[in-house]
Formats: sequence, C-alpha cells, structure tokens
Amino acid sequence: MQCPTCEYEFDPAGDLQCPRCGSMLSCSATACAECDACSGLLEQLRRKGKDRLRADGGAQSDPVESDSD
Amino acid sequence: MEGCHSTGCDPEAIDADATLALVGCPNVGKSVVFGELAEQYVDVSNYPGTTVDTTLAEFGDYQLTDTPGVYGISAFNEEERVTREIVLEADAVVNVVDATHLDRDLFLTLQLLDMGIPTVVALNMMDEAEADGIDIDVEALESALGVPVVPTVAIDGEGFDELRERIPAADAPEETAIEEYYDELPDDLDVNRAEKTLLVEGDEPLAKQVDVGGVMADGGSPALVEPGLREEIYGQRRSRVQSITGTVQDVTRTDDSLAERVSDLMINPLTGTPIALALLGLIYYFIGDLVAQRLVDTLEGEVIGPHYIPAVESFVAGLLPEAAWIEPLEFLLINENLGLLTVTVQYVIGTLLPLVIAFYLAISVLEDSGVLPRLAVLTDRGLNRIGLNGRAVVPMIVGVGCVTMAVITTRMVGSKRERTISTALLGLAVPCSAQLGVIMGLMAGLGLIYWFGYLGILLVVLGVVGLFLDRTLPGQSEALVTELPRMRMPRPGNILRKTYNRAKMFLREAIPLFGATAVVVSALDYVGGLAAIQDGLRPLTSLVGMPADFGQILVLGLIRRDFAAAGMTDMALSSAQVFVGLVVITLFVPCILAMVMIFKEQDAKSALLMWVGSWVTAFTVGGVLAAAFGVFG
Repeated sequence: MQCPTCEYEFDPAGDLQCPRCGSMLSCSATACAECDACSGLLEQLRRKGKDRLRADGGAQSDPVESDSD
Repeated sequence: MEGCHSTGCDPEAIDADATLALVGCPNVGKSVVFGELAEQYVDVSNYPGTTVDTTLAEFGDYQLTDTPGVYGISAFNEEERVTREIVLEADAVVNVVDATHLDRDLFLTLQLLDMGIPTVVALNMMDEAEADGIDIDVEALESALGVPVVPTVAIDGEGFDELRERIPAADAPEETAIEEYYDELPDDLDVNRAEKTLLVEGDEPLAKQVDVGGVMADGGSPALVEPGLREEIYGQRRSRVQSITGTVQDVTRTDDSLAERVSDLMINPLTGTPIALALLGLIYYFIGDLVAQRLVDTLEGEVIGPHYIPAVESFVAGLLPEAAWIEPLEFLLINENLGLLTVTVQYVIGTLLPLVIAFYLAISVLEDSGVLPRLAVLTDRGLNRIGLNGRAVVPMIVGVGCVTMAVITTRMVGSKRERTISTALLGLAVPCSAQLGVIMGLMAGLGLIYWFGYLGILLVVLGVVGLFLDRTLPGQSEALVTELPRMRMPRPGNILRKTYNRAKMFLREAIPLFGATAVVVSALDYVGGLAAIQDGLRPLTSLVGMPADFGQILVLGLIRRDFAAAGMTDMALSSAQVFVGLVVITLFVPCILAMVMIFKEQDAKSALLMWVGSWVTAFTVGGVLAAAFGVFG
C-alpha cells in the first residue's frame, strides 16, 4: 500500500509502520482492502479497536508516533 | 548575493567552485535556511510542497541549491527525481532535519551518509522541540552520525554563524552498514558509492543507465539486485534510525498544547465543519465584502471614476490632434467599455489589485498558521465526489471573490486533470463577488425563495458538471496526500513579504495580458463587431424567454460579469424573467479577463471547450427554467 505521508509503496504485512518515513498508519485512515497487515478478521477488529481507543486517548500510543500531528 | 529559480536562470552566472544542496523532508524549513545562507527572500509557507522547483544562489564559494522536500533519495515522484539529480551532482549537502520529527527525518540523513555524500546536519526547529518536551543530545547525535550537527532555529536566524563555519567540514563516514549489500551488485560495475547505494535500493532510472547487458521480454533491463532487497535495506535503515533516536532523544510527555487541541477540532468532521464554515464566512466577509464591495466601490466610485478617468480623458483629448484618422486611436485609449487607459486601468488597479492583495494576505495567514491543509483534509471527501481533492476548496472560495484570481490559484490543486475540473467549475457556476453584489440586490426584490432557488441551481450545476467531467476526463484524480504541519502563529513579516512578492508577480504577468485584451475588444467594438454579436444572439435570448435587449446584457457579460448583472437593473422584466436572466448570466461565460487567464493556465483547446460549454449550460438551464416558469421572449 502507499504510505499517506511519503507515498512510499510498501507491504504492510505484520507492521503498520512505513519503513521510509516511519509514519504509523492508522486503521481509521486506511481501508482494509488496501492493506494486508492483519492475519484475519479478529486481528482487523483488534487493530481497529486499538486504533479507536488510541484516538480517544484511552490507550498508550505505540513507541513510534504518527507524523500526522 | 543574487538568487534565481533554475527554470529562469543561468547557473553559469553564479561564480562558485563547488555545489552545495539543501536537502530535507517537506516543511522542515529548508527555504528559510536557504534565505538565511543566501541572504535573500524565498517564498516560505507552513505547508508541505512550497518549493516545487529548485532555487539557486551564491553562498561563499558555493552554488547553493534549495530542493523540493523529500523523505528519501529515490525516484518515486517528480520532487524526488529533481532532488535526487541535484544530490548526485552536489559536492556537499546541508541536510535540514526537523528536531520534532527526528525519527522521520534521520532516514534521509542515513541514506545520504550511506551514499557517502559529504553532509552537515542543520537540526532545525529546536525551539519547537523544546516546547514539545523533546530533549536532543546534539553531541551524541553528532557522534552517532559521524558528521557535524548544528542546532538551529531558522525562523529566528539562530545557529547560522556556527552552520556557516561548519559547512566546509561536511563529511560522511568512510563505511556504513549499507556496505554489506554492495556484494549483491555485479563485480564489474563502474559506479561510485552513491550510485551503488541507489542501485542496491532498486533505483530504476539508475539501473536503466547502467548497462549490464541483456534485455527482458518487456523490453526493460534485467534487475541488478534481488526483488525485496529495497524493503530489507529500508527496514535495516529504519532500525538504525530508531536506535539512534532512542539513544540521543529524551521525550518528556507534555499535555496537548492549545494548537494541538485546535488542530484536533479542525480535522474532526463534527467540530471541523462549523469551524471551516465560520472561517470560509470570514474569508468571504474579508475578500468578498470588505474588499470586493466596500474598498473596491470606494476606489472605483470615489477615486478612479470621478477623478482619474475624467483626467485621463481630458488629457488624451488634449494631447491628440482633432482629426478623423485619430478617432480610432482615441477610442482604443479611452472608450467606456474597455478603454486601455481608462476602464482597463480602473479594472486592474481599482478592482483586481485590492482583491489580489486581500487574497494573498488571507491565503498567507491560512498557510502559515497551518489551517489550509486542515481545511483541505476536511473538505476532501465531498470534493472527491466531483473529481477533486481537498486542495480545491481554496480556488472555490477565492472564486467567489474573483474568478480571474481563482483561476491562478488552481495551480495548487494537483494534477492537470484536477486543475481542468476546478477551472471549468469556476468559469461556469461560481459567480464573482462583483456580480454577486448586483445579483443579491436584484434578488432582494424577488424574495428569499428565489435566492435559495438560485443557490440551489448553482449547486446542482456544480455537482452535475463536476460528476460529468470526473467521468469523462481521462486519468484519475490525485488523492490528497499531505502531511499536516504544526499549527503556528503566523509571522506578520513573512505574511507581508509573501503578499508583496506574490502580488508583484501577479501584476507582472497580468498587466500585459489585460492590456492586449483591451486593445482587441475595443477594436472589435469600434468596427461594430460587438453590435453584430448582439443581433446574432436573438434566437438564444428567445429560448430563455428574454426580450431582444437581453442580447446587449450578454455582450456586456462577455466582457465583464458584473456589467451584465448591472445592465439588468434597467430592464423592465417580470420576477420570473429576472430570475431566469440572473441564472443565465451567472452560468454564462467567464469575463474576458478570466478567459485570458484560463487560456494562459490551460491549453487553448480546454479553454475553448470551457467557453463553449458555458454557453451550452447557460442556455440549456435557462431554457428549462423559462419553460418551467412559462416565460416567453
């Protein structure tokens, strides 16, 4: 998929961080169809839930923050 | 120290022994650093992508080049290709790094060092890093990278004495972790370290240049390295970045600042929409009401109209001899439709210049504060439906002030396809403020329902035509890819300098065009061409249920939109005819000066199609409305 920050085309399997610019991709800004980071539906739900919680301030951020401040 | 854009300057004119490139990610302050080093002004905005071409200047013994912002040295888009070329040719690089985004920016730094490019790091925005609770051990960073690192606050000119001193010490480590991958390349390749690095990263333009023999079935060259090596190298480099960042950077969590809270509110559709509407209203009030109506009215009605024009008319009449052969010249210079020295000057100085200055002031504040990219993100989804992206919101707002001006601002919306769609919509269904003022006056006599009906029809036309163009134009619209810059308090000095420079550039481009147009239209008027056009329009005026006099309104509309609306105030028409007539003149062709700009900004074929399309749309919609209201001309 294409990183929304630096436009680098990468395979997000297993990790949602762009290897070039380091942006942490957000599930709320990326369609599942464009991304195969998750191994199944449960993984998708878990990631989406975590992403939503983080957006609401209910969970700690990952070590690398998104660049879209 | 003279500076110039590469497109319009001979680099040979700069007397320099070596080349120095300024390289960094978008919106890290490269242009401010360039301005400080070269001691000259460069257009600077709090918006990624301000530098779209390269700028050159002399700096000591160096030819200094400002480059477009990139996240890496590769060839994935035009900006990267431009920067890549410059870096490959440069003797040294000043890598501008945003101290608040060390984790992002050090990827490029490490790539430059892997390439063996002599580098000095300008660690910029140290003040903002401090405000964010980010503490960077500069000495540790310098030691980790193995090249000079100079902390700077470019906007305040801090750190530049040290930066100037240390540029000659630009360096690159003898060896970096990338070396292990060079073995993947064929042994007999005659390339330098920078090229080796790019080749193992799968750089396609370079791989094509390097002749390794053999041709693939698709006509391309065989790959020099295994597929997937780039991913591995990038992953390894990212690990190195994280290791360095973890060592040299200490982040103390701070509460969200007011700017961050405002930013969050602006990009959330629920809260952002009313904020955006309020901002758009404010911009409209400033440009469309305060400037376009009050200031322009005052200038035109109290300065230029009663003082300047009579003075010029009497001066020209006194200057030219009284002879029949001189009459055409006198007509060209001072006729009341588009005289070169009268109405044209009134239009450029009295109308356009205040609007241009107001627009640039407003847009500069929006840019430097970081509001503009947030407006673009917010409106992106809606504009996507008509083949545009969020950046098109700006020309649409500006178009309500002045369509001529807005056509120029379509430069910021992205690809040619989006520029064509936004220009077509501007020319067709966005009334300019001068016209809107007169239309609102006429609508006031009809009632609020007509006003809403008028706006509804324009919105439907915008949507339908946008959809039509989106479906029929080849290619796909560009997605809005933008990194949201930090929200900042705009600096008045930068706003004023930017406004002055942009307005000056606009006038330099516009005045000759407007002058030439005035001469051509006046000549046509003198030989009776405009009157002939009016007679030829009779079938069309009947179609939309208007009297023959409406032809004169249309001819005026060809020249200037508000002239047409103003002309309708003197006509004896029913309410339905006023309504239909106002819709027709709004959808009718853009004013002649807007058309000149469209011709300049688009190709002639697109401009002509837009012009013809406006005729078709205006009279189709007008005909339908006339039939619905049962009005007959």
